[in-house]
Amino acid sequence: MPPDPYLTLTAITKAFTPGHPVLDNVTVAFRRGEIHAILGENGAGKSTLLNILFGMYQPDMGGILLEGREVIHRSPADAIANRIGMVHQHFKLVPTFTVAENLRLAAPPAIRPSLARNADIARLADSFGLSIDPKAIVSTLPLSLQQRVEILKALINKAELVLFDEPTTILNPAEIAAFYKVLRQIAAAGRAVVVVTHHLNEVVDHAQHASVIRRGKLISSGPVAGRAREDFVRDMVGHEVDLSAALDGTGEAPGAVRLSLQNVSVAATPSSSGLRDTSLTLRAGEVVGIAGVEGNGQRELFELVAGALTPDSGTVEAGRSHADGRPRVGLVPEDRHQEGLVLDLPIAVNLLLNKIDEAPYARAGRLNHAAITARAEEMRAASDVRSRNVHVTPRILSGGNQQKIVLARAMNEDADIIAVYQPTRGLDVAASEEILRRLRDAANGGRAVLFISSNLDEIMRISDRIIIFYAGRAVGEVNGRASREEIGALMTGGAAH
Amino acid sequence: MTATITETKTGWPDRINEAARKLTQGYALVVIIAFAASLAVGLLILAALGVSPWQALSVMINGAFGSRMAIGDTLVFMTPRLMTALAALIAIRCGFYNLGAEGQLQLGAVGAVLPATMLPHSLGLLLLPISLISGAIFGALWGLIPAVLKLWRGANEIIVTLMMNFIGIYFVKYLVEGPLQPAGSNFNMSAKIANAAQLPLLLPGTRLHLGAVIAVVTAALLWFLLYHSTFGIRLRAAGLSPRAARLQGMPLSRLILSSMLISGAIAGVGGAIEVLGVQYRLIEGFSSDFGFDGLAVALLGGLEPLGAVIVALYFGAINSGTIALQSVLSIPSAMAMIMSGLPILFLATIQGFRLVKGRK
Repeated sequence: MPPDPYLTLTAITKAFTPGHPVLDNVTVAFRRGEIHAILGENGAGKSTLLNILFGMYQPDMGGILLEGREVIHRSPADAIANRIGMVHQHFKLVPTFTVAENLRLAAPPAIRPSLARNADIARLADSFGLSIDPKAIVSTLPLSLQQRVEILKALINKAELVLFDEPTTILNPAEIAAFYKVLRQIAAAGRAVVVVTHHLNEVVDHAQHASVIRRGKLISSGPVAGRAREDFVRDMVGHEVDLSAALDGTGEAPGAVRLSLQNVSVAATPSSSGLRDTSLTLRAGEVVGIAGVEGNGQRELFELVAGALTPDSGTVEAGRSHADGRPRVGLVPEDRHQEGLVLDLPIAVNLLLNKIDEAPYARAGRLNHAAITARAEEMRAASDVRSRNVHVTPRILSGGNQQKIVLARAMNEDADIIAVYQPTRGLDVAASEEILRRLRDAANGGRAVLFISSNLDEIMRISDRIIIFYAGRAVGEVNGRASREEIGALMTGGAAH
Repeated sequence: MTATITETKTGWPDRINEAARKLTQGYALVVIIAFAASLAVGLLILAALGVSPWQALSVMINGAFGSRMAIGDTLVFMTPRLMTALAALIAIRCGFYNLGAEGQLQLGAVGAVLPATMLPHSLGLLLLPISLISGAIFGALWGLIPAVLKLWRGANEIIVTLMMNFIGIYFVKYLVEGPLQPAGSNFNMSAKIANAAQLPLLLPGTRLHLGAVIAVVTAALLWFLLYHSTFGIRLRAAGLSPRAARLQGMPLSRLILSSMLISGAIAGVGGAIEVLGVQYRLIEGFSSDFGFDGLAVALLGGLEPLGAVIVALYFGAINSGTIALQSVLSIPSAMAMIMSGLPILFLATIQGFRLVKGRK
């Protein structure tokens, strides 16, 4: 018999536009000592649920029961007074303040005197298992430590229920493991922990209880034990998706060499090893996965292929080049918002950004808006970008739709090569699957795809060959059927030659 | 770097579409509210000075639009502010914060006065275009310096352009106290320019000259450049998202250099117009902060050429209106500065509120 819930959201319904509920009669219960994951695709309504609990929105129907009695959260202040803490996806810290100053700022007046000295704060942080330097300026801290400050803010406010909105999007795999260790400690101390996420592996590995929301409705809620990843995917997406199925090639031998890097070197930086005397070839019809821990030369590799960087030594040769000498490559950059898109220019311009000065989109330096719009509408339809039209900006679209624009532009490049870097980062299951499918199709149609990612599952599913980067070198090459252990060993330099 | 990879949550795209549209398209309304509110506060201040607000308002409107002469003055006051605003906005749209329109305007005036006073009068009607073009070149070269410093050494353009304003202002002072001061004169001004170099007057009995037309045509050309040329779309892309533009092969350095050449040239022509159309000489302090006003006009106009025309016209009207206030009701002309400053305060306040609400 599980213990009584600490907090229950009962029959929550919320609609921002009448007739289109974001949440429809959702009931979930959170217990002390448990990590409770709320799963769902982007836009399923999970963040809205969290925001209602934290007092940022009012439910149209339904309510909140705290240890059996009804409470109303008119604002976050009410929620905090009821011992609920929230760690937002975008941190609410003062970047120019120190850790100690941020914590004092967030603490209620009654507690503030006990935080007067930095030593008090350090001791308190240690007592929660969240060691941190109170004198550090927040903006100089890595994101994982900034998140730690946010967690401390909640704990200093004596939160008994701590909410996390997509906490791991900004963390690397090692940091994610450390993060869940902290969550387990928080839960073990008798608090209730709620994590909103769309990352399945985390849920299966770390949560005790999971609730799945799809299109505003609660699909399932129960213990994680005994449920497989596939069960959750089905609940989230609404149909069966096999996340481990390989995306198959045509079975034919790869064709001519499309891209060749010979003995390239790029100087190291504080955040990256650079590249050291690395060679690589890419052939028509194949997907070559680049695996490795971030910072082992992947960014330099992508920039070399994009022609945005010239190697200190060595050569980059592509089958076709732009007039200015850059290799002709369809590009899906790592940072969708800063590198992939110009968020404040219309979708039409973004779709044709690489060709905007070519006929028929421009003649004698003058834009041909009719041709741009016509072609962009065509591309939007073909890529299923869900937007009102091509004249709105991509800023208002979901990550999945934004990435479809970037990919559509890459495919539209007159190039035999497509280079992608973290193509599914931050995307939900359905959007990720679609991006991977299209990349595989592009290779099967005769293009060469360079697939750089830190997501090993993805690389293993789509690649014909996998090249492992370590310390700026290709330290090994395995075929697409290699085992995770073999690749993992190479990634950490274990089998470096 | 990873912090930027965050999801835009759009389960309900229409709703968010709507919200974003309201936030951006409401801008014109916000500006109108800001202007109306600042006019109201200005009149309240006048009331506090013991002047009937209605009388003050009618004097101002009369002074700005009440007669052919009034309209001419308003347009003459609009012109330099529109030119400097256009100069500021083309650079800022490319991501280069050019706060140096004042200095580029000063150099443009120097560039115009040299041929207009020194070339032989026998050149006749050629003197005018030569002087305008010379003003444009002086302004463009002055504007090129901070761009080159930025691209070559990474010098912060905000500081460089701001400081170069003062170099420009004092350079003019030096010229009119020294090399350009006619022998025997005690006034800090150059000799009068040749008649043929003067901008023709457009309306008899007014001060309105061809410069106002040049300014409005420049605004139209700039609009065309920004929205209908490949150069403009590349410039905007580079300004909004330099990293994305770079990956698509756009030459960022060249775009910045070109935008600053255009920016400096426009401000330079603005200075030339003041010499050739209003003062007919180079005079110390001929610019009453036109460069800084222009920055305000550009920002209030939402960095759009059309917006700049409208706001510059408002600034021109306030200028001629407050001159009327001074002559009719003896109200200090500092009122003009208050009336031009208030919309900026209101706009900043309203935008601040909108940002706070928009984030929720």
